[in-house]
Parts: sequence; C-alpha cells; structure tokens
Amino acid sequence: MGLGVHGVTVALNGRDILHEVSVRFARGEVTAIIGPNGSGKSTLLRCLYGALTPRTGHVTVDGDDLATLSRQQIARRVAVVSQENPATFDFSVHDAVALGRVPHRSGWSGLSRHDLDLMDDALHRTGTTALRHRPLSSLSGGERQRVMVARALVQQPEYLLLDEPTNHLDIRYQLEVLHLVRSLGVTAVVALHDLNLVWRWCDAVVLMSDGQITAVGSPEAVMAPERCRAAFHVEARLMTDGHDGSRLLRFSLPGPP
Amino acid sequence: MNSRPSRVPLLTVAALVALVVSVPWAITLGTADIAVTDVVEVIRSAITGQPARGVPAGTVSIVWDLRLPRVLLAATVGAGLALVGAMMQALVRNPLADPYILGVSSGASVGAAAVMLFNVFGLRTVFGAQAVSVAGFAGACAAMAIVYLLARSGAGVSPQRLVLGGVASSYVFSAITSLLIFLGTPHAAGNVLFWLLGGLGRASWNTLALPVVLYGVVAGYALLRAPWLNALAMGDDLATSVGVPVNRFRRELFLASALLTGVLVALSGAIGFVGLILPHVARLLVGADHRRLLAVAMPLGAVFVIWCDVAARTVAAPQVLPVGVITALVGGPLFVALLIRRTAGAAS
Repeated sequence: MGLGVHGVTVALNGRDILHEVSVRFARGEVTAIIGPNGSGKSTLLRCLYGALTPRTGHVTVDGDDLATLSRQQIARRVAVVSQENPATFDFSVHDAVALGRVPHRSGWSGLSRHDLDLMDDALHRTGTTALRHRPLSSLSGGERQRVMVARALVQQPEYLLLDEPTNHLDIRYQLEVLHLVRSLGVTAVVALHDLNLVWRWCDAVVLMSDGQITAVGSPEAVMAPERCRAAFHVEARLMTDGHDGSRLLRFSLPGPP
Repeated sequence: MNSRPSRVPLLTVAALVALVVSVPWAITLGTADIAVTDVVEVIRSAITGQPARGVPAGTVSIVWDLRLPRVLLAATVGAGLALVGAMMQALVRNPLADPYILGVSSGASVGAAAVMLFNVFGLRTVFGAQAVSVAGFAGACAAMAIVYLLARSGAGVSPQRLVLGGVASSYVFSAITSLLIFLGTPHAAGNVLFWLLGGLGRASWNTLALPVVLYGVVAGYALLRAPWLNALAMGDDLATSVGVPVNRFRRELFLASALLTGVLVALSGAIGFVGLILPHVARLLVGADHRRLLAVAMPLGAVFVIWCDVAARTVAAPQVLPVGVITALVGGPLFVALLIRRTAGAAS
C-alpha cells in the first residue's frame, strides 16, 4: 500500500534528471521531499501522478502500476497542487475549484448538490469562501495557492501531492496550509524548501541531490547537521526552543563566522 | 468580474429567441422586400408538404431557394466560428487566438485561388460550381497537416509551436495567393479578392448539409468536453492533475476545429472577427467557464453573422458587399473597446 517508486529514471531533453530512484511513501504519513534547487524534487512529484513517464522503472498507487490506469482513474486517487500559476482567462475562484470535480463527473451533467457541498466545505477549510466570485487574476499569490488547495480537496484524493505549497505565502498561511494538510488525514507528499517547516509538520523526509535519493527516514535522522552540510553546503546547528522544547535548525555559511 | 451562473439560462434563451426571430426577419430583407407572413407561409408549406397559399411562385423561389439556405448558412458559420474561436483560445491558451490562427484559412485561399484563376487539376471541369469549395477544403487540409507536423513535440502538440507554425505558414500561403492573383487576369483576381473577404453567396440546400452536420458534431463534442476545456485553459499541469489526457485532448481539439474551420472557409471564405470576438463577448457576459460560454457564444455568433449578411446584401444594393467587410467593420471597433476595457480593468 502507498505510493511506490520503483527504479525510476527520467530523462528530459536527453539528460537524466532522476537516476534509478526507488522510494515508498507510506499511507497516512506526510512526507517531505527536500533538496537543493535542481535536485529533482518536482520531477519526482510529477512522476507520482503520471505527468512524466519514466524512461525506465514504474510508479505504483496502492499496488497498481500508474501506466495501466487512465488519467481519470489516477485523478480520482491522486490530487496535485503544482507551482503553475493559471490566470490567462478570467476564470472565477468558483470555476477553478469546480475543476476538482472533473474526474468524478460525466460530461453533460452540471455540478450536483453533492459537488457544491464539497466545494463549500473546501472553500471554508481553506478560508477562501469570500473569494468565491472573484476572478483568479485578481488574487494574490497566496490566495491563489489556497484556492488551488481547495480545488485539490474537492477532488477527494487518497494522496495529495504539493509542490512548494508555501511559496508566496505569508507565514500564517504557510503554517495554515501545512496544518490543513496534516489535519486531512490523507497521505501527502510535499516538496518543501523551508527545512524548519519539515520538523514541525512531516512524519518522514526524503532528501534528494543530483537526481538521486541520498537519505530517507524520520526528520531527526535525515536532517542531521552533517547531512544538511553535505546536501545544501551550509553549516546547520540543531537548537531547542526554550519555550516548548521543539527543535529548530539554524543555518549559516560555512567557514569562520 | 463576477460570474453569475443564474444569468446563463436566461441569456442563452434570449440569444436563441433572437436567433429564431432573426431567421424569418432576415429573409424578408433584400433587394426584393418580402412580407414576413409570406416567409412563414413558405416555410410552413415546406414542412407540411402542402403548397404555399397566396404566395407568388417567384417569391417562393426567392425565399426557399435563395434566402433561407443563405440565412441558415450564415447562422451555421456564425455559430461555428464562435465555437472554433473558443476552442482555439483554450487549445493554445491565448486570448488572441481565432479560428484562422492555424493557417487553415490561408491554405484554403491558395486552393480556392488556384482553381478560380487557373482551373488547377481541371477541378472546375470535374466539380463545376463546387470546385472552389473543394479546392478550398483541400488547401485547408494541407495547411492543417503542415501546421500539425510543425507543432508536434514529443508525445503531444505544443501550444507555442501551434501558434508559431500557424502564423509562419499563414504568411507563406498568403504570399502564394498573392502571387497567383498577380499572375492571373484582373477579372478573376477580383473574384478571388471577393472570395477572400468572405461571403455567403454560395449557400444552397446542397451545400448546407455538410457544414450543419459537422457543426452539430463538433458543438456536441465541445459541450461534452466543456470541463476539460476549462482545465486545459488553466494549464497543462492542472489539466493533467484533474484527469484530462492532455495530449490526446489537444489532438482531438485540433482535428475538430481545423476540419470545421476548413469546411466553413471553403464555403464562405475567411469571415473575420467573429471567431475572435464572440468568445470574448460571451466571457464578459457569463464568465470563462466553457459550459456557459459556449451556450451563449454560439447563438450570439449565429445572430451576429445573420445580421452582418443582411447588411452586406442591403447597404449597397443591388451590389452585394463581402460579409467579411461588415464583420470586420463592426468587430474591429468592438475589439478595441474590449481591449481598452480589459487594460483599464487590469490597471485598477
């Protein structure tokens, strides 16, 4: 059970971006993918919902090979919040969130009472109810991100993939988005830049560098200072918050202070 | 702007009523004025199979053989161009796209010009009056194939390459058309120019079936796939993540819109602005959701072209103007007004 990546190699424009990556994302856990820019985080995420087809290897959802599932079947199980910024036409927030029902609807039928209830609930949970009739193009980056999370929620996925969901967000919404993901009870895989968010919100961490996975495990195990040094080329010091005893990483450039 | 779903059925019904009223009304107007009661009587008699009572035979002929098919073709072309325009804007994710952006109309022009000027391949001998349409459609298909091959990348067709390939081949095809006109006789060149600007003079019961049926099929397909059009218009990643097979869908959209454009252009020339403007007008009225947008854009497009054609037939009567001149004269300023409104909206 869970999302399985089995010996996956991905090539883009003739260059290998992922090299024989194998990893398992367990059901019920929130897993962070961390690593420097260009390490293959987004590429790995894109493989998990079939947006990229691996050159070798395969990806499984609860034991089913993604390659044998239709797009619609995949979309009923896996929802994605990507970094794409859609604003070309004046779609309203309502229109964007309704897209989450596309994999569950047949063509002619409009939105059912059930669909609308799910949408109300998702808008409420992401704090975007008041934005419902606004055009996407008038929203701030953070508002748009929350709308995209709402859209993913109405998809009712078993697995939720998020690519840098905290980008452009005020600190409050960064925490809220991760709190929301935590509270949903879905299996989530989140590419994250902010390592201190990982401590607080994730059960497991996958560390990537140069298209390979260099460590998998609990945040304590993977984010040890020496590993951060190797992966991100920074000095990392593990500290304890005197107030509530939670752990923090502090970073500095290597060399004399 | 707010999208108000409750307005949609009302607007669609209003547009459809306007369409139903426009058809007989537009038939009464022309070089010979005909009473609307006569028009209704002729249509009634055709439907019931009984002879038309109290209508002169000449009037029956004008209504039934000339004006009714012409008005119906105008409606089909208007609705079809609005439909293809909306599909194309979602397909290449560009609000400035129109049905001709893929070079289909320029390809059709080469075919039509070649036949009108030089009776290429003896087509005129084989197909008679339909030769221009046949050649136009062949040219449209050739252009479609070239642009598709240019735009193929990896597993799918890329929107950027579709636009670039379409624009580039449009220039080449237009140059070839100009060359043909330059080499031809002045009289034939005048005919080609008239054809290029678009007109509905080729309408007849024989030529009506294909565009009507094809339009029906494509419109049904687009309405069925309206949620996918929304997803595609918002981005490939987003569309993929909500279960749209993006590459296959884009190929189907390309084929459907290019075929319909090819058939419409072959019969009526490249009538401009309808496909560009009507989707935007509909978006302003009911928002960007394609289910609502198409339900409003298609009947409005039909009404728009019917009345532009009435203007083309009556403004300089007995001279018939190319309908493309009217749609552009009306559509151009409308488009500028839209752009200004858009820019003002973005700045505020």
